[in-house]
Amino acid sequence: MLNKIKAIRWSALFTNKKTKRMDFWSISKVVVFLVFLIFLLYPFVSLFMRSFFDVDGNFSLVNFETFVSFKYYYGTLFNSLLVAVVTTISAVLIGVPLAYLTARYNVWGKRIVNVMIVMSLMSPPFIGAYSWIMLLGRNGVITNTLANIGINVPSIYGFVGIILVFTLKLYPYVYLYVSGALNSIDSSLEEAAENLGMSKFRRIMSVTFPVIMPTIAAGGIMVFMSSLADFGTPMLIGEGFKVLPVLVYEEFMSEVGGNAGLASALSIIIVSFSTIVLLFQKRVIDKKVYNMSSLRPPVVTKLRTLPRVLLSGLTFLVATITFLPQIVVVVTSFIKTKGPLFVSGFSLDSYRTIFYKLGTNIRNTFTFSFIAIIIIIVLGIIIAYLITKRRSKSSEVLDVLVMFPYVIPGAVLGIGLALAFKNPPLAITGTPIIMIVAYVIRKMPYTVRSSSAMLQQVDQSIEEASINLGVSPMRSFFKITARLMLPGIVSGAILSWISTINELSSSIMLYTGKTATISVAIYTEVVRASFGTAAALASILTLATVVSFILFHIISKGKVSVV
Amino acid sequence: MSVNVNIKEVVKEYGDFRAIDDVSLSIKEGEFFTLLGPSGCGKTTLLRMIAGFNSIEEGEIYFADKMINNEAAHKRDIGMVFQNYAVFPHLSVYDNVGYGLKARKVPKDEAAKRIQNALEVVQIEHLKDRMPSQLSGGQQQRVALARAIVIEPKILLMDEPLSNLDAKLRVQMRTTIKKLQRKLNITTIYVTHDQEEALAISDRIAVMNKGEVMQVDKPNVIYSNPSCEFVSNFIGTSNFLKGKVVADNTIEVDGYTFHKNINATVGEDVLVSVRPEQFAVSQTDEGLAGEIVLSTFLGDFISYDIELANGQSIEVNEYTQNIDEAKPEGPVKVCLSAKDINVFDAEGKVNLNA
Repeated sequence: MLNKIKAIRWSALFTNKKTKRMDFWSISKVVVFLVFLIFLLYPFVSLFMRSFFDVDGNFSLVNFETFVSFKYYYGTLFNSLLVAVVTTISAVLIGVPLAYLTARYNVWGKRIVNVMIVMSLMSPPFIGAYSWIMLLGRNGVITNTLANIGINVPSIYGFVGIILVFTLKLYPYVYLYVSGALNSIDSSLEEAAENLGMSKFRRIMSVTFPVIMPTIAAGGIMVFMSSLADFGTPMLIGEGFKVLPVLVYEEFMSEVGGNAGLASALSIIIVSFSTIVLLFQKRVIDKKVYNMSSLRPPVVTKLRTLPRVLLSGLTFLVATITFLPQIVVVVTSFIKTKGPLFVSGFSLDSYRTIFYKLGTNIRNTFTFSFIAIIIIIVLGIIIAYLITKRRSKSSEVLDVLVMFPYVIPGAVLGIGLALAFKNPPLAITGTPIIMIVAYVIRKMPYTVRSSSAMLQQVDQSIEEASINLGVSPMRSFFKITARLMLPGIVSGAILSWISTINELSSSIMLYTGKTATISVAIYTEVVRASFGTAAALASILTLATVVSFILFHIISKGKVSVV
Repeated sequence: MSVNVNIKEVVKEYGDFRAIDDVSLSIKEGEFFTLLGPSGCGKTTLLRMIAGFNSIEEGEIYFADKMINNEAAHKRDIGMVFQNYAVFPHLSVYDNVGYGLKARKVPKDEAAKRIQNALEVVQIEHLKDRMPSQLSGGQQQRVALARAIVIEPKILLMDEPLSNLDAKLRVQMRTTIKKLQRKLNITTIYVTHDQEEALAISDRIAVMNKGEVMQVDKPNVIYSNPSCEFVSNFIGTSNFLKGKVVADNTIEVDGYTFHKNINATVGEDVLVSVRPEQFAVSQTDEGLAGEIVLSTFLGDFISYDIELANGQSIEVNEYTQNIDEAKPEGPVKVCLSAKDINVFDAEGKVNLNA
């Protein structure tokens, strides 16, 4: 009898396991893990391994030795860190006061200012460099105008230019983070300080800033990581001032003396630095985040007319300077050209040229991005569900894996993929597939984050109610849960899309003549000093970005944050 | 249509933690059965095992003669009402109620009739075109109820369905649910941590603690004859006094002796459990010595906070119809109604009442 019961239990256990194995989510989990294993871990680990081998394939530390012994190499690390630190400080110095101004005073046109700032953040990273060269470069409009009246503008190439472009491009992170935090502080907190006899200034210093400090730090870290990883800007405007990502590119690309092992070692060094920064954020800063439940929104100070005009003017000035690159790009795209040179008058020549010569690039960008975004949506929904609703050890690992591309600069991911898939069985380097893979891996975090944020609001019991009423778990998910998280999915997907069409740093490592995208074409056109066509291409990207962003705004109704 | 539910030696483990420890219950056809216990006692875990949302590590669960351990949740044909209602926010009231019928491919005109009927039963027919966001908590709960009963399930499960409602509505919905259950005569398993709700609504109650069932019985038996100290303490209010069996069927507490028929040997330590209304302020010199610290007038009775000579505080209730006015603060003697009280062994695990 006892044996019989035991037998029944064993069989029950067995079938239980069997049904578990057939479960939709378990299969999805395996598939998702395989994708990350093949396209993220394998390339990255082999890159890591490669850095420990010399040109002849023997194990050695020669690559790291080379790095530390030559100033040409290690100097770039110092340059990169210097750029990142200075950019972060400047971004905080602009972003925080600007956020305070718009959050706490009745300045005019807050919405327009916001749109201008978000637009600049979403624009292709190197458009800033290009535009500032057009304005302040050797042959820039402002440079020439001022030279005519006898003023010589100092050169913007090198360190200064990188800082200028990065700061204007990246302070929006700090601005957006801090605005959000300032708007969610409960006003009673500041009132309590006031009630306890604090003057306004001391109140800001003793209550408001300590509370938003972790947010400032989080924004600052985004700036730090982006400026450490970016490749396009220093490539265009840095000239003699070389930073690490540029060195990686040169080592990887140069036909003479290029060294994949050294490029790998350099990549590992960048990734280590960004990982340290990210861990620091997780360990130190995240712990200090105060959870605010804003019962009453903070008070907006009503200014008298004169200060209101002055502060509004200041806000607009900053926003306009931030937005200027977009304007420059669009304007220059319509200027008449003669070959690569601008002549006076307007025309559509540049557009004619690009549609004639560079139509493939435009097609590539939109085809690759479209395919990538479909894959991102499917995988993103599944991953968001696994990490929010199926909490387990493996889903925590998944959570880390999805966010891992954050610490890997695009150029490094590009090199990793290019080297890993050069040879059979999966020889996809040089094909459109590898471009799409890079986009999927790199741009998925937006969709996952936004979808899982939405999913957290959907109570598990809603889906269970559907199952309970007789609809299978998989169909319940698609009929109920996926439907309810749709706004989150769509908003996230649009952000992924915007960021994909503008992607340069991984594309530049992976493209061939046939797979070059708009970003790559802009880059090569700028390098060839063909500024007109570059501007026309950039305008197309900007237009696509603007349209997508408007869509994003309508769909998310301002509920999903862009950062 | 309604079935009995048999739970046999069921176990649920989370790692090393036994959330449900060898529980067996037998729930009759058409019975209103309540799982009652403090939070974390395993009542919701057990309910979710029956619903199919939690796996069963050991043991079996039967609906009538059919073992359902490996039956998928969506095939169990159970109605369930969730604590937070779980009304589909993107569907109208009508579509919410019709959801389960669609899954069962019930023909449209029959479905319409059944939905109409269910809406009428829970009295929200006038709200059928509303969206959930336009409904109050009580109305959403009615939608959830209609949605669960419209599929004419074999069993109805309710997971703390009233805990999100305000006190007045809770009592009102309690009555609605009880009447509805009588009318449909559907086997119902109800989970709550509110002992008053459990006593009011159930045919039988299983009191649970730390993954184990402590007692299964009718509400009045559970109240008057708790199986152990935990149940006595959890259901209603009880005062616990340490005593000793000094002679056959004679107990002494702090110098006060009284007769009580119990299954205990002379010399054994016991735990005496007395409800506030089983105490009385003594008119004679007999009883436990104490001092009235505070008297509180509560309408139909007066509650005394009395500190005994050994420092222990006890609660004593006297019905106002038996007395004229509250006794003044100061020294008193307290006696007890020995035939009504419960006596446990010293650990409070076994009821010794004979």
